[in-house]
Amino acid sequence: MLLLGVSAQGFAQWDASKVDLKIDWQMNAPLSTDFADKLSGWGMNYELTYSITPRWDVGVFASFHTNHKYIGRQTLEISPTESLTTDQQRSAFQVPFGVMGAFNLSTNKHCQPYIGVKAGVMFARNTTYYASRGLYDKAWGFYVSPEIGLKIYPTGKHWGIHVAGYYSYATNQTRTLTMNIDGQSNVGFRLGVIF
Amino acid sequence: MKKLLLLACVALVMSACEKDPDMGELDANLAVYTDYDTGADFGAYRTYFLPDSILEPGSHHAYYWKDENALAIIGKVEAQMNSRGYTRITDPEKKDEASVGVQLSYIAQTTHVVTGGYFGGWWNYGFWGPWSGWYYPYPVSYSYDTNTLVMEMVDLTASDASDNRLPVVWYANASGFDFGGQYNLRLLEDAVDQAFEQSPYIKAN
Repeated sequence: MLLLGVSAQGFAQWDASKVDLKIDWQMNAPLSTDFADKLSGWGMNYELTYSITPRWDVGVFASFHTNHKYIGRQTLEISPTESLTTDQQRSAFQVPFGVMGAFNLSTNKHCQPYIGVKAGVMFARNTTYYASRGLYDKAWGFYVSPEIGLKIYPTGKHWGIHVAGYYSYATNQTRTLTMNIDGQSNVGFRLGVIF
Repeated sequence: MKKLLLLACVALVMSACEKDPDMGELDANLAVYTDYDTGADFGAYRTYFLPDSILEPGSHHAYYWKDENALAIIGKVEAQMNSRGYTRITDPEKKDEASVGVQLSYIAQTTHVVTGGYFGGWWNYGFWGPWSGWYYPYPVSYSYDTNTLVMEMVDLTASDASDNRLPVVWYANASGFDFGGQYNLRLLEDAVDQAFEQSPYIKAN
């Protein structure tokens, strides 16, 4: 009964105007894997947040990104006795999703800088295309991403512009044609719209 | 304004998540793979027997490719073996005297694909406007050709082969798309050169 009462009270305090939907285009560059660590803009980020206080937002997020890198023709020593000569087109696809929290550094009506963190899981698939073939490995891992950003509301709270920069780390482990990847880091920025 | 923004974003949400890489960036050369037996003494071999045809395995019968294109590929292998200090035995009656046998096989394959009304084709999403993609109201089919040249070196001096089979001491394959004609022949010849280049251990003392 107590739980029911708390839930009912929470529902009574629910305010739809405190819900924000953010849809961002993102630029992302994987770091340190040397697999497809080239900046690309083939990704999106989605966030659904609720302002529990004027300073604090909590919510859920999901994003996806693809990075490609072309490697010219070279001879690879893939074992002590095996060699392979080919060029490669590498593709790294990442889909993190989970929960997030953000602290607004200002409660200004038109401009709110914030710091936040996202945490959850990430699906990763790394593919190497060569000649008429493709090799891929996929894995799940834990994901964490600190972020700084700015919410700009030109006309008040009706809609806004979202700008953010982030770093992320995921524990995914994948094997590719030439290397083992143990953990994936990324940096990037997002530009989007707030509803 | 807000509805327009939302519609534009919905179109982005509906678009495919994963971006395909530009496969046209890959060059046309065949991928060349080699492996060898670390127990083989390539320096001790002196002679080799190389047939004047290339085996083409089929589902029911094997065929022997013998025209001038086949001879051009065989000639490349012969030139590489000779440059490594080996001597070719050409008389089939004397092939038992050879240290190693070099056999070539060629496999050409056509892959047919029939799509279920959707084809993740060449045009980027968004090119024709803010649509989520496109579809065919009828099945669409396409095909592509690939080919593989296999080179194997068999040790004919392995007298201790207890199960009466000869060990393959060197294996190479070159595979990729089949472009046909003289261009494809040149790619196959280049692949033979590459297979030997990445196998420096094939050398007579």
